[in-house]
Amino acid sequence: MNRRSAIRAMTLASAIVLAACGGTSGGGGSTAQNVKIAYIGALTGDYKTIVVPGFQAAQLAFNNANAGKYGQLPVNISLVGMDTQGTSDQAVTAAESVVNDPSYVGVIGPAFSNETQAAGPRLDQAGIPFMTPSATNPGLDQNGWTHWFRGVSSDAFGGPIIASYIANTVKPNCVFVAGDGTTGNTSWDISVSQQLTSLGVQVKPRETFTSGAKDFSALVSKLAATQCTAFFIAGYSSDVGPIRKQMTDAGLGNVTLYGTSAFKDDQFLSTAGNAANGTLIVCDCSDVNSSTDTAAKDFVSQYQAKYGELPGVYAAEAWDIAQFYIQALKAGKTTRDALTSYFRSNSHQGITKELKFQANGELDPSVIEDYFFIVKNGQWTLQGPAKQ
Amino acid sequence: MKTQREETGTAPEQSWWIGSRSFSQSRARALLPWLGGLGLIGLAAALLGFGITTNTCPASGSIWIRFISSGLTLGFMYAMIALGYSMVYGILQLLNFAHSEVFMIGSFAGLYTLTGAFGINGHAYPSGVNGSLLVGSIGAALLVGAIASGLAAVAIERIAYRPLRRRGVSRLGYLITAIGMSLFLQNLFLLLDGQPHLGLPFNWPRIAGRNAVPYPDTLHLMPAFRIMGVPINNTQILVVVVAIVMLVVLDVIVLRTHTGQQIRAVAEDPEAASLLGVNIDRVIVITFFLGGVMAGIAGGLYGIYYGQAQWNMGFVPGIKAFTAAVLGGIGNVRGAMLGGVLLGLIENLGVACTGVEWQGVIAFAILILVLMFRPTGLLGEQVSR
Repeated sequence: MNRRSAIRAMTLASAIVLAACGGTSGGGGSTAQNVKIAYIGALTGDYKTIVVPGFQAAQLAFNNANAGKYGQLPVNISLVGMDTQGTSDQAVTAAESVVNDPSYVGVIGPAFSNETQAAGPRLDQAGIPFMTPSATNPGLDQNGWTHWFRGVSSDAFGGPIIASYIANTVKPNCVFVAGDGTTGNTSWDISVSQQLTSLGVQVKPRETFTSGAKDFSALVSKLAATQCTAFFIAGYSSDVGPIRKQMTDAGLGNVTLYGTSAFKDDQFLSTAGNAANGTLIVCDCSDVNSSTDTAAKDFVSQYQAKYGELPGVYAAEAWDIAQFYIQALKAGKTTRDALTSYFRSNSHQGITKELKFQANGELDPSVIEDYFFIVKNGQWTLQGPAKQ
Repeated sequence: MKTQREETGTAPEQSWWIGSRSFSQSRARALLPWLGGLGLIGLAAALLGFGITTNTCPASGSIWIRFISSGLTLGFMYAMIALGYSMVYGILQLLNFAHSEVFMIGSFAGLYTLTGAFGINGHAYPSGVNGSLLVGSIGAALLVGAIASGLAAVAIERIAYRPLRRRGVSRLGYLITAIGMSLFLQNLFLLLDGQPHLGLPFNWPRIAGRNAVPYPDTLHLMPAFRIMGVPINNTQILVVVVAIVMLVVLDVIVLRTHTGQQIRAVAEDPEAASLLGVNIDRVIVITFFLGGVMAGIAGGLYGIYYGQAQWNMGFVPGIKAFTAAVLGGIGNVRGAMLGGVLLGLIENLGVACTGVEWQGVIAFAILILVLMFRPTGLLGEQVSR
């Protein structure tokens, strides 16, 4: 290879590498008495709309804490955003960089179940407390982790609730069930299918669609073939939005879509358009935006003042988790082990619920509250509390 | 290896190929693929009959109409993309992986023609546009998309492939460069998100970015007609009609024009074509441009049909279109068309009796089956040198 072509090759290689490394990752400043907390989740990519609001809420909480708004803290807190784009391998990379840096004392996240399943062993082995605001796969509590906490209810709660709603209130002729087969969603379609069957509702065999495709015509035709008037879907908004649109385009506007918080975001509304109306989901996410509670109203106004928008999905849950960290750090628990012990033996009254954990890291059943949300006039609207 | 033309001595003008070969083989040999095809259809019909009697497959005709209509729409889009892969392979024996990004560029060009040049958006036109504006805007979007993609394809050839060709780089070198160009373009569009990058003191243009960019509601969706109660939408009609027109136009260009003759001559034997005065570089540029134009129009149609454009939108259709080109016989224009339409149909019809998760399994099983009996694809491929 001559010199000119070598330079050309290097230029092209550098351009490719630079393009590949172009993702963003947030970072905090560092001072002498700093402790770092990592926020592990999809801060960019198709799934960022269900992670970024939580990251922003946590950032707001720690900024307040550093500014002395909650009293004197023994440390300065740096929140470091670690972008995974929703993938397990990048979650592992993030976990390794946390584990190898002793200034990290805790983690908020990983945001998704697949990420948690992949990164959990490393975080747990390193003795770092990791508390997720949004990973809901029930199987996560079977890993025997001692530093893991779930600040949201698992699908084992939500699945039966929406299944019994469909069976007892909607009473459709049958239910078409489909999922994207990811760790975060599979438990939903399995648990909803089982529950519906046990309640005597006919469930058409579960379908697994390919996430990331733009054409879902085969799935829509399968739905049409069943003639079911109800469709439960376990997927993310980047897929569920186009699916809802293509259903209506194919003349299946009368089929109601049911689902989970995995697509309770603006991306679903924008990609599905008018077809989104009537979609109903169950979510362990209280509607702080319309809450009359003083602390919740305070959070919403602060968030809106800083980011110019209302808090999105899981923002309030992440805010509560950040506040629990602040409460523990304020009590002088500034090491990984001390924080874990504190979370195990204490509770925090948040704006969504009381954070109080069982030995396996799950929320105490007494504090869990799920809610139904429905799309009305192109907006997610609280329908009411969800009970089984 | 001898080409078919050398074996049979027929002129390329009579052939269906980009570059080769003859259609004057013995009648029995020519009938073989059709007999094989009939055998496959017979097998499929028997399986279908069994499926319906055992309630595994839907018995309702309207359900089958649904699968066929969506399969055809998808298939025509595959066919248009497949042509670019097939033509470039025909003349260079190169798998141009960046062709899927050429498709994506056409989709974005069409999108910004609609929103930028015509100001079409949900506020200005809440229920789409009508009349001459509708025809003009969609026509312009497809035209701009076609030109943008055509130029992008030519640029890729000039920047990435021609230097390699001049140096006589191996096929593997071409392949890796093609994959590199594909990833480079995908990531470039990912970074065109209106944010600052690489520490530069300005925001990068906001063209694509991470999330899907919605297409404006231009041709407001409504059923054009119904077959057994199944709505056939105006967007489907648009896709199929435009695709058929473009496929016929391309077929005529390749088979009936002087340029097409030159393209086929270069694919047949570049050295001989060069000796006869054909400008090889010019022919290669034209081939890339034509393939790009088809992909650009497919990109615009894809955007209008699915309502969005995204940085990685070319990946899945690109792989499917490449598969379609192989199914039909790579290097063969009509093969690419047939392969595209068949693949779209197979993908949809194949899941009627199974689950959606079987879509890829069935499509690729059929591809393998076809290649077992017809290693050169349904309509045969160009003999490699």
